[in-house]
Amino acid sequence: MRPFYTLIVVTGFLLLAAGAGAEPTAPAGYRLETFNTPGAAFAGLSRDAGGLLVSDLASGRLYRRGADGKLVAFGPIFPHGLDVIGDPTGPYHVVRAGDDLVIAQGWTPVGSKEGPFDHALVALDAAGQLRVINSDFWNPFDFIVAGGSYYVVDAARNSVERVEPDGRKSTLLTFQRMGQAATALRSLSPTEFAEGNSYEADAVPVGIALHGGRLYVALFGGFPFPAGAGKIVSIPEAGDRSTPQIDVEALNAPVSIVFDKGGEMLVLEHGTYDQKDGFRKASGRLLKFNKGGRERKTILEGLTRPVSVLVWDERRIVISELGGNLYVLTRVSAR
Amino acid sequence: MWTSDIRAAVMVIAMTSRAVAADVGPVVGNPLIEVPAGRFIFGRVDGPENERPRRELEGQAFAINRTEITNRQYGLFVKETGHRTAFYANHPILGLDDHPVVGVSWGDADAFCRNYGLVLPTEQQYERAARGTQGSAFPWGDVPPGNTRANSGADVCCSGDARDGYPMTAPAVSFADGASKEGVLNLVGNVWEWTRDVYAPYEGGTAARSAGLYRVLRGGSWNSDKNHLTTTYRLAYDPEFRFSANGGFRCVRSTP
Repeated sequence: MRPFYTLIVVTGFLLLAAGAGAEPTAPAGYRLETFNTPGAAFAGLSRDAGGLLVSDLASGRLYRRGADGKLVAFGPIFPHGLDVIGDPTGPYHVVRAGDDLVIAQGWTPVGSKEGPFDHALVALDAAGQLRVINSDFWNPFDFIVAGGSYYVVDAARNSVERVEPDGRKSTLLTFQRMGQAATALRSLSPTEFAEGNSYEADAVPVGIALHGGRLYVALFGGFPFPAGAGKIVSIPEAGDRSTPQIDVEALNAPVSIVFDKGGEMLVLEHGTYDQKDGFRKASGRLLKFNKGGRERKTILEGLTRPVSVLVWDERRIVISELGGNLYVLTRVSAR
Repeated sequence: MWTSDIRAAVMVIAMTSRAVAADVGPVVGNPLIEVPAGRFIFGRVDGPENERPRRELEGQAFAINRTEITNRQYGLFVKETGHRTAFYANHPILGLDDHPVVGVSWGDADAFCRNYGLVLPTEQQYERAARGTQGSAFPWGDVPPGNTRANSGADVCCSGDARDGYPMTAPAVSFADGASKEGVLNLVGNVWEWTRDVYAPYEGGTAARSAGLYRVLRGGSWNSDKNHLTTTYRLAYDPEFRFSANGGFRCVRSTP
């Protein structure tokens, strides 16, 4: 039962303003470099040739980070601000797709009139012109480009969508609500979350990756984000997608997923959620799973509100945080 | 049955007309409705264990806000005091000026009331206001709410629906058919309402005692099913929780 904390159909994914957290420390065998941009709220990461692309929800800007380490803004200022519950919205992710850069733009900021680029996939061409590929989303939080198509996770409709370059869209899968044991919420209400009770939370897809012919989706777990409710599931890129396969369970709000050069899966956990204060500082982690998904290893912990992870090369991993941090984790020892 | 129903209806009309027994109160646009002292029924024996026992108590007079505190009223309080805003202040429906404020902790609600020289109601005051003196099932009597007397949810817990005209909260001044005999609105449905009381078994009750400190909310809300949409259901919650989209409050002035 959940009569009081309720639904929040509009919530989907809470990105409450991030506070400064304790800095994570590099694990043995790794070197960690931190690059902070005051006031920024970094979100999606991708690679464009030799440059790192990152979006900033605080300014609505897209940035390219070159070999000199400097962030250079490019493209227009996208709509940005806070959504109805105070979470930052704006350009969630920018990815190279042929001659264009494609941007997943979040839903309309509070107090703003809805514009053509809101809740949309938008293409930015080399001349700086914008074109809406499709705006029939509610909250397109992450996407990948594969085989000329876009695979988009809509974190409000709780669906995986396939979009063709001409904008045609088809829904591959809509996730049902996930049953949860009430144990994690017993401290919230003894009358509603008694022993033996269960309740349902939205299965909010927020991250997507393609590997070995399967689409892997990070399910954040809906409000109130009980610890261990997150999952990684997968469906075949082609064929019967009606029943997703559960690959990893017991995750704390997994927000981004990627595979390294060796085919091992990296999962970025956003953190654990305190029912009074929101996401706890320094509770985010980067986990690595072996190919079977059965063994997990913590690569980095102490992250505060991390959003995206990118495998840069065989030794380096980049992580973004809402607090304006970019981390570069470099493996300095042999595997 | 017919006779008693007609008598009850006449009493409702008569008592409703006495709803003028109110003063403007300190909260602009939300008068305080007088509830006279006297004996009333508290608790019941045919519901959850934590609602037992059913007792007849002697109550003091008090005055209660006619409606749940609205976003406009809470916003003025925030502006005057610098208190933090409600969590859903900017929501396109939940944040509408004339709708009840939601997304407030017990402390937020308590601070609002105290700012105006008022306090949150006790559970006993809530039940007296919502059940009258005879322990009615609802503010209007004993017939089920239907779609015209309360803003409630789907038949099965816990989704909102729009059969009553509102998918989420309704304006604080709404559902006049569901008013109490004194003319207080939405004592059942719309939003759960924080009370002053710490959750504990009633005197003489056998319900389990909780380890932590919880405050009680009453009245059900826009997403409540019939099991929660009663005048006796006790919803115990962490008082610091402020993310609820269906939790609000109103205030009372107790007569010394």
